[in-house]
Amino acid sequence: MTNRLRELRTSKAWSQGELASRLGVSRQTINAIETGKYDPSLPLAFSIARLFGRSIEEIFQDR
Amino acid sequence: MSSATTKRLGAAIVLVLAPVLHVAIPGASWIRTSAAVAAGLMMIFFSRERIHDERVQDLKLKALSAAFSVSFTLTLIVNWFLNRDFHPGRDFDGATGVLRSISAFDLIVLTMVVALALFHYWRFQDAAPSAEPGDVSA
Repeated sequence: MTNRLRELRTSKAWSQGELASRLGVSRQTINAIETGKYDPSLPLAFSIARLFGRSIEEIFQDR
Repeated sequence: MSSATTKRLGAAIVLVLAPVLHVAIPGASWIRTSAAVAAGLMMIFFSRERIHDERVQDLKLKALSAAFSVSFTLTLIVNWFLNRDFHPGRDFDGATGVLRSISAFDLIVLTMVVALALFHYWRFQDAAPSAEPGDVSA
């Protein structure tokens, strides 16, 4: 799965740490998602989508 | 008990209490000491992280699965193949091979050590920033 998390985060000028604290996860988790090492659970994907005001499909795509 | 306290207590058992008891008690055996070491390592591994999110849970489960496979395979190799300890009755009398057979507590200690190493290695990899431009990490 690929995602646009880094692009969306940088568009808001947020650091990984800032995004992590908004989502209630660690900075390492954000880095793992952005680098494609980890696919988030559905609840976390919904939280990310809600935070950026996008749908899940706009942020996460099947390879 | 907080996660940090549990972790410190586990570390104290492994690093201080178990070695001290092993030396202080006359005739202390590794079997008794390894039980304390195993308990301490499990306290460290199963205590909550400062931010205990889904990635931590995922990595801990993966680390534990991998570690159990590694230590169980090693136990089979040492006990059954190197020590040629195929006879089930001998497991209770002590193996007579070149290497000391790995006990159940040794297996737990080995599993926990490998699991902790894998978990922290993967966590370290997660934290490593990528070389891509625009990485605003803090």
